[in-house]
Amino acid sequence: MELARLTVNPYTLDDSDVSMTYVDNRRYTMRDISDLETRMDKIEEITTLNMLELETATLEVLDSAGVNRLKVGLTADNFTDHSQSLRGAIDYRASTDVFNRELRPSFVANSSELVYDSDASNSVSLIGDTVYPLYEEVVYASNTQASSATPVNAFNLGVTIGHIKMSPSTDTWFDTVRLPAKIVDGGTKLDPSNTSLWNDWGFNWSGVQADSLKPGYSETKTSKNGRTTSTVTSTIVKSETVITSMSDEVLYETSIQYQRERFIFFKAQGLRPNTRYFPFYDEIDISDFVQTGSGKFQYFAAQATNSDYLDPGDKYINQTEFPPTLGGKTETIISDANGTIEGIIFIPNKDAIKFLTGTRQFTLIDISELNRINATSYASADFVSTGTMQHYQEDIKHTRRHAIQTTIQTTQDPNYNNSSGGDNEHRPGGDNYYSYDNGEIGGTTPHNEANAENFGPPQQRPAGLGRPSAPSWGPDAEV
Amino acid sequence: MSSTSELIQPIAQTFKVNQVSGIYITKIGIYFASKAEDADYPVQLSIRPTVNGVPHSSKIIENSVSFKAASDITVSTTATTETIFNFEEPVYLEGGKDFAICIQSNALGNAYKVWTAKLGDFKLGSTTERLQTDPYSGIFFKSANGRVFEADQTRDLTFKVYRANFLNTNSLVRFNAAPPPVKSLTNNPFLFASNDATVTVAHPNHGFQVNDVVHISSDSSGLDSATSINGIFGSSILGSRAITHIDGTGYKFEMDSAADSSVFGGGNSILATQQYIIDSFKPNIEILQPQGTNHRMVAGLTTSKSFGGDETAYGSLPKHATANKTDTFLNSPAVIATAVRDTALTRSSYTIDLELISKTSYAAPSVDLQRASVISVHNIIDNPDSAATNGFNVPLNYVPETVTNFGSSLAKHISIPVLLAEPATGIKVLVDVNRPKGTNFDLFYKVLDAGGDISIEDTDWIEASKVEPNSNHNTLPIDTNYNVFREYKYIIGGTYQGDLAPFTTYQIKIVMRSTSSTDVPRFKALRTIALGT
Repeated sequence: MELARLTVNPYTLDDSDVSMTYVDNRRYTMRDISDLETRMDKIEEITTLNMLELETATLEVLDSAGVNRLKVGLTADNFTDHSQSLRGAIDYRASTDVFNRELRPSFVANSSELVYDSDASNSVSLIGDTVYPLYEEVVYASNTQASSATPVNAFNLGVTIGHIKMSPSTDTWFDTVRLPAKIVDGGTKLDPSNTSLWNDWGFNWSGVQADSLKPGYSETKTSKNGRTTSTVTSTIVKSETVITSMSDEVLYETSIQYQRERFIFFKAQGLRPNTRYFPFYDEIDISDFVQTGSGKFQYFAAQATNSDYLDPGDKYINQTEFPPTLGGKTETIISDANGTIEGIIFIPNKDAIKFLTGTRQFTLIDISELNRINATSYASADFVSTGTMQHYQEDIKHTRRHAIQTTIQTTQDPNYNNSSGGDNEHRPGGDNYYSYDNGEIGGTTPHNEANAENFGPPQQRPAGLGRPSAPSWGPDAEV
Repeated sequence: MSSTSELIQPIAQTFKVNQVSGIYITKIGIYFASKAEDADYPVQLSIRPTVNGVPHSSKIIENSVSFKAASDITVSTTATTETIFNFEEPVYLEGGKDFAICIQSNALGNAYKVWTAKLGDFKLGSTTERLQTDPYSGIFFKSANGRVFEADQTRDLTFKVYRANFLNTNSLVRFNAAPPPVKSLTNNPFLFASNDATVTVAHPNHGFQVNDVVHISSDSSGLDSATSINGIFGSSILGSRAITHIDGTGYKFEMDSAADSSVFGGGNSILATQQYIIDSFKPNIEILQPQGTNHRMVAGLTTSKSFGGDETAYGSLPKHATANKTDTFLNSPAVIATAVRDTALTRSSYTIDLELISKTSYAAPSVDLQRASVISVHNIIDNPDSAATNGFNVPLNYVPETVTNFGSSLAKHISIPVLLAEPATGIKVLVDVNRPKGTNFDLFYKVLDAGGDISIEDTDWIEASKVEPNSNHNTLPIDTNYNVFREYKYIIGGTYQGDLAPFTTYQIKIVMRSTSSTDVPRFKALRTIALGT
């Protein structure tokens, strides 16, 4: 590698006739290359977006004269993030694939345990928590020669350290959590579907706030137009809550901070025989959450698909000790004559007691505090819990809707004098009673016999805008 | 491999695994010269890795710890009868490495002694024959204080290591997906209607179909049979209920009696069964696959039905080839069903068949069932309409997409409002779309008049018409190639000159629709241009 260039003048008399120029050799470390890669990624992204914007800006949109129309503004979204998405909108329901730069519908991901089915499996055997192809046992290595005996415990240890086997020994899960739905108050609305649009005044609740309306509330308005007096009574006949789900989306993903509810089988061996032990998990006394009576060591893989020990879900979410329905906690934990303790741990996830994810140690110790220096026997094993949580939230619009039924009663003043102005068209007489039910105009025109001869025979007309229309007769309307 | 800093350093004997594939050891035979009283401490045997030929001071090979009580130990004065230490599972040891058999006990007074062979000593029971060669190629270690190993180059433990000799038959492992656990519903999940026995349950992504049975329950702190809410006893709600109507937000079923009024209720302790719809899935199975071994995997699936689809739910799909820890995309949705449905099917709704393949008898793939799971992914999309017609679904509460903030479609993208310095009278929109069969999309816009005094949030959406490739894009060929994106164009407000009232704010909404949740439209490069007159 070239390091420097030397220039030597003719007739070199001293060192001033020699000059040296260093070659700028850049020696990149892996860190430098990583930084360059990051910068390249950013450049690529920015270039792509710029090209998209440039392409958009240079698009020709012609008017009828063939002249390029004025571009007042432009946007270009290559879906590398949500910067141009209205994620805060209550009905936003999409996701972006940032690697492929695509927009697509939102999604939900769930994790399910896979359970071994021995009946449908062939030529394999389940041993412990592991499935193996069938095999036979053969000697692999041996030394069958002997000459003398050697003591196993030549150093006479005073402390008994046992061994704990746990099943499962890990809990890796992918889960979703639903945040409380975001209730958007849609206010109170009047539902005019049971009434009709009578120039708006049929449901014009002047001076009354919609929020204060209740079923049974009614308001009457009277108006007079010429000889016709109309009395409109609008009544809240029922009130209901309308729920509208507007979005359901993943707000964010996190590593789960606390372990989920879980049952763990354990078997401790090599302990002091017939000795009381105290259970600790992550240095916290968990005596209330251990069952060593009826709870015996089982392999996780042997659980049935409907077993509570497989994935309890939210079933025991409110338990404050080992579930009584599964045997309850064991008050005093004592090793058997062989120095063995086996049982079940229930990992709680309550505010009062919960455990961080990661690697946590379960310990059985023969004193009531986790102080190995003062103990004569203990055993420990690690449990690894890791999970990823998707946080969903649903936005719900909560609207109170009052259904209105309007009755309209019109009366004609027989003493009305046409010359006084007003409605001088010839209209069917009588008290007209219109009832609107379920949005249908089931109008009838009860005939006022007493005034029949003054106003002609009873007729039926289309009820345009809720009142008898001007002369536009329907076929066979006259009776 | 388990690790702890508390290990004591007992006596140990190393041995080497020569096979490249590694081996599975199943048990170890040790020859005892004496033992402790029956009530005394047991003997523990374990396997440790080695570092530079010395047993590791703090690591034990996983599942390699075995205990033997004094009563179960056979003393052999002639070193001919072994005491077997069985491992609960075969222990895999990597090829080309040394491992150490470690033996320890807390019994005092040298109660337990094991036979060893020392170079140059008389063979056991003989005064006529000495051990002239190193009895075994490994190294024997002992410790004077339980903390430091000391090698004894002239001595070896008397032992036997047994391995699994695989028979190379066609080994097949069947997995069934566990039914999804019960789900804790959101607070007050029931919406009652006045004088109506139909209740609406807020349970997004429930996975059920009409006529499916959901089991509603409550934990001990919540609703019970005798509790009355809104005039209805818990017994009228809890239990198995046939679903009468579904959408992506929940479902409806009939209670035993009608509610008094229209309210939310139920409290925060309601649990419900659920199902997982599968549009793609990813098996996560921990397979120990030594060199020279392999595996194959197929999935057995049960059909589901999309909201707007014409699929038939709960049929069997042909076996689908899949790969571990790899996404597999389906052509039609499948389901991981409830236990009730599995019982009715007389099979598990989702299975994985894993074939284990090996060319050597020394090793084979093994499967850790503690870490066997499948991740199922479901696209949230529908094809809603106000009335039931073929290819469409009717949501629990249909609202057209023109209504601001209310549209009931399950999939939609909304752009941020664009503010213009100068008023515009038209918008041109271009977007590249991959539109598989059965999918569709609509584009909506809203504008805010220049000088308008209302918020754009309160403005209704207006559906835009495509100008290219065709105004009726149902006639276009579908995109069968996953990687092909077709450019769609819209000119809002007229082709040649804008006829919208001058506006200074505009917003775009894309509503995605599909008759199958496995096929969804995908979009790239959304461009909008606000046009002047």
